[in-house]
Amino acid sequence: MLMTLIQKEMMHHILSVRFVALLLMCLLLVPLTLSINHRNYRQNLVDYQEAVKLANIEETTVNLKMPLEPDLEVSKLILKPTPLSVFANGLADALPSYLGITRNGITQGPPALVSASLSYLLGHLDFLFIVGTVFSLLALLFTFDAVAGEREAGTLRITLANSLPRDIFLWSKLIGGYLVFVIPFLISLLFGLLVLVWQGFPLGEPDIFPRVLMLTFASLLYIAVFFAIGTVISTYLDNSKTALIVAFTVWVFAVLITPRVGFLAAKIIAPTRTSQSVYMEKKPCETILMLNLKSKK
Amino acid sequence: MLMTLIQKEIRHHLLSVRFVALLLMCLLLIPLTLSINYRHFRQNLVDYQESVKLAQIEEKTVNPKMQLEPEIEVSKLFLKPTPLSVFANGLEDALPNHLGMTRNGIVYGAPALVSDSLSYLFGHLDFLFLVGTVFSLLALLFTFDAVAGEKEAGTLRITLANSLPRDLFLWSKLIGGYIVFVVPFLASFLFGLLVLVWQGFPLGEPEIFPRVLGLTLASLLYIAVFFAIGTVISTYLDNSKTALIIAFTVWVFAVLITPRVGFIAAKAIAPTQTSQSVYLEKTALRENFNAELEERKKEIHQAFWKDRRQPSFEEQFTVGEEVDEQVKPLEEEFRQKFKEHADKIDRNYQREKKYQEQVGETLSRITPTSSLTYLATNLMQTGKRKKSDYFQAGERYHDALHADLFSKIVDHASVRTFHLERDIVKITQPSSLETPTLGETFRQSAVDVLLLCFFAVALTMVAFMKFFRSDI
Repeated sequence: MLMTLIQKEMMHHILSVRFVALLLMCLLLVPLTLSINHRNYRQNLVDYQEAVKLANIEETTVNLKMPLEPDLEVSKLILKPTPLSVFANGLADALPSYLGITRNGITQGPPALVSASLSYLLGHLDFLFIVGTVFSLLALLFTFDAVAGEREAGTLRITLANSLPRDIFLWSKLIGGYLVFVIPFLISLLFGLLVLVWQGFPLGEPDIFPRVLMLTFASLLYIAVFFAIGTVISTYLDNSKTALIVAFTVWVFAVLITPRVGFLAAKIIAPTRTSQSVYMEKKPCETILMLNLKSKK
Repeated sequence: MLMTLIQKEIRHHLLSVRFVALLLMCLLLIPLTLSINYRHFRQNLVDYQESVKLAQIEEKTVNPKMQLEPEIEVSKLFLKPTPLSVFANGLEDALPNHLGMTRNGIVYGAPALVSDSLSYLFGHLDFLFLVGTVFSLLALLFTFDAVAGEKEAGTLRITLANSLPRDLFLWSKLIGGYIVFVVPFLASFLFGLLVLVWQGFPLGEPEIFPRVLGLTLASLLYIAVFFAIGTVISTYLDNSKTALIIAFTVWVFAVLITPRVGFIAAKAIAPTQTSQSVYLEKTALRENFNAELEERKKEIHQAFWKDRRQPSFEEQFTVGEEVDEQVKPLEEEFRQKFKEHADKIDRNYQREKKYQEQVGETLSRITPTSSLTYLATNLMQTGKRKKSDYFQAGERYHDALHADLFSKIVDHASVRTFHLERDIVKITQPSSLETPTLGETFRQSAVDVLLLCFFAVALTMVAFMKFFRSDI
């Protein structure tokens, strides 16, 4: 019974426009994004290698008996780009390109996005963004009418008039929709990975493959969460159009607003001193110590 | 007739769930975002003021007669946060918080987002983001069934069976929906502005108010573009559910994907050298010049000592000065030569970078979201113009320091003498950044304004053409 219902559900989804939208997004976005980000990573790697080469050429020797300017960077720890940034760029562009080691402490080099700051205005496109934003929206598109649509059309009443347990009906809706959703997603990811391997990405490395696998599982789980959200909304409402509007409102808050509000709210809830005021507080201590040292000398 | 239809449309929207969603977003998000961002701005301002205070306390004096390490920052030009960043944060957090002036050139301080980089993962929440992303989606929600819904329900056929011109019908749909949309939007924005003023925001200042007004008009224009997109989709389809799915697909591509693809594609279309390779090229050049200079200096030394006896210990000082005097013009000549070549390398690199950025900017303008972003950030002084003004001010300040100090530093001296009061150079503090006038900003953003107008007009025309030709 469950299998028949799942098959019916799958057929219903495959013949709908949303499946075309899903296919379009999967086939166009996933491989393209992975490929473009791999090019970006290779460029960053060249930057890194040249920076290391430069640091090796400029290797400084320090005479401990001579005065050394406190702000002078005697060495640099350069940030190496990780190949996995192809999937989720994360903080890679926001972290300092290097940490300079000076007598005064650690100084920070400019992050990559300083040189490409205009693109920062429009945001970064990677696999994580596609799953987190685009596919979560699509997951809601697949589920908003799971129950509300059948109720609205009157088919729910007819279906449940037969000897069909309600849990099997809902499971068929969830499983059928989920299968139709994840199969093109996984195929396009596989295709994207093949493109990456063809471009020279070291997918087979023991440090990389399990992480990519984990990312895939995490993505599937995340999509499942949005399937569940969509189904919850659909079961609570009688009208599919209303369900869709509520689903999108929830999506806007869950995906676009709340994650951004968190850190802004934290600044109000737990304010900190500025780094400058900390520095100014330390300054008199240094002056007093220097004066003491001078007088002792 | 039009008024009656508009009233009916307004009533229809007011009673729908989407109006509740709109009200929720407007009343909750706009005032909250403005208020939180103003607190953020005040914190940034305190940071800036303390940095400047610190720089003034630590004000440096440099003796050009002594050696100066090329990487030492002798002075800093700090980035002052603009109050308008409350509306569109733009590049504010991505620009270096200071430009450090060294003999080697300008070094960048860490941008604000480095210190709270975890929040960078999720992006920034501001008024521009709300309009660009959330309200564009809502605009599609208001229009996807404008025609398709009536067609589906069969009411379009009945309505048009009466003596009702089709243009009036479509205008009523557009105007009615737009009024219902923009009234709560403007009311909540006004409420947000009142909250800001209550918090101490200088809204009444002549430099600020026209820009906020400009941003409001740009937002209304942008919302109109998405109203037109939704109406076009609705006129082309018979089923409102299909229309909604298509509308959201278009939205995903127009708002989320295409603006981000522009700059990535530009990197593939117009690749540039890396900054490191430029630096390596300059280092190699400097080494070549230094080797040649050393060679020439050796020749001068040899010529100088050819017919002279070994000086006594007392004479060494005077003779050293004499040799240095002869070497000075040569050093100056080589310094000039190096500067010319290094400038040429820099210029080529900058040209490549600028071209790449232009390609990215042009490609991203395919969608109205990019145009709104460029227009709004320029208006709010947190966009491309601010970036170029900041870096240009840094370059000017560096040139001034070069003329006053860096060019006077003697590297190759046998003997170093200086007068404690006369030779010391006090580092002048940089002047504050000039802000472009509103007229200049509009001239610069004319392309974006025109593009938004074009999108709105062209898409509305397409909707009307399709509606006139469609068989009901």
